[in-house]
Amino acid sequence: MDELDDKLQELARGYHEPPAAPRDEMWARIQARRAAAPEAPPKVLPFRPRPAVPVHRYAAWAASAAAVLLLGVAIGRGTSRSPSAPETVATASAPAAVGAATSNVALDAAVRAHLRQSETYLTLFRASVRSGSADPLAVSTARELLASNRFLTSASGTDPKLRALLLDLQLVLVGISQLQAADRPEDFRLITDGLDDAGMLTRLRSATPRGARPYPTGVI
Amino acid sequence: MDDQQLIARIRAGDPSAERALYDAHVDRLYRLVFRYVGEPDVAEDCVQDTFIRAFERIGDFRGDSALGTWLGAIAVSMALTALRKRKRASGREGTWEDAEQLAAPKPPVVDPDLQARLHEEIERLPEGYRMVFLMHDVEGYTHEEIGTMLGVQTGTSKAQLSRARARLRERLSVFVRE
Repeated sequence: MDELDDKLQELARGYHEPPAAPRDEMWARIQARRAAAPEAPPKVLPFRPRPAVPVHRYAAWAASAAAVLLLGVAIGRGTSRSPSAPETVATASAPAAVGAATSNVALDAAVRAHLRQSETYLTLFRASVRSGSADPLAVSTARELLASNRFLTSASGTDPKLRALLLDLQLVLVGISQLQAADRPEDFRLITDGLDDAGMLTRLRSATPRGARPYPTGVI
Repeated sequence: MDDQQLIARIRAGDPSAERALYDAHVDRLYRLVFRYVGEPDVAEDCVQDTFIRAFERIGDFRGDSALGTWLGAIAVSMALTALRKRKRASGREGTWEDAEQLAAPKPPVVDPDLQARLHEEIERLPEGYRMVFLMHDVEGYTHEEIGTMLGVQTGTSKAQLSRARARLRERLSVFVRE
């Protein structure tokens, strides 16, 4: 390698010079997509890469939020049956107690899955607002999450601390779901400023320990 | 924790091991992919796809190469696919096979800055040349790593690099002497 090669090599370092990797945002999206995907896709299926243009970044969230809602509905059905079958309770109190405990565990799992999804979603939302690329799908995803949130908030048996967090989260989701695509960037930023002021992401992270899977195996 | 321990923990279903693997490799992969595709959104998608695929396929990793090299191979594959899609969409198909084909001369560059001129010439390199040049001379990968990641012989990587440098020298030597 001669002097010219050295000079070219030095100048080439400025070619497509990478910024710092947006670690947390990318990790959040990876987790979101994995949470929305089947647990173990068959290996025989060929790998299909995503489209290069990330237009549907939030689409996985819609599916994921819907999954939690379904879980919530399943729990709701389970818990709503109990009062309508008193004779069963009277004659078989032990199995009924086990059933109630199972419902509480499932409800707790659903709440935590919802909180994890919301945390990832809000991280993503905040990052897109900061980069000035708020996606219209963000609003529809907030509506999906809001539906899950309302259901879980209204369910009896939710831990009071988690319920308080759910209610605060609900306000944020309501704010986002009322945004319109034509709204000014300032309107979006107001929401993210509110998120930061309330320490919402920190609270969500505290409520959902890192590394926990969004759904415990076998709940659904 | 070494690669094998990390992989064993991931295979055992430990999510914190997945995050550890991500943290250990994400910056290097992002740099590599960004160098090649040059667009933040595309680079992020490629890196995300890389890790999703890696977590799905970690059971297939046999340890024939370093974990970082295996991840790099997936990332390079994602970057090539993304770039080819982009070129196809813009009607400018570029493949590994056209590595021998000379790029058509462009009109004289208005900006006389050497760096800007160099970047244009790098952009115009055939795909294979450009990838090897960026991996070796810019990001510092060895020919062995490049060979594994690109699925080519080490000698091919060396030859591609030599030709890429020659091409750049040829296009820029007059400019440098001025």
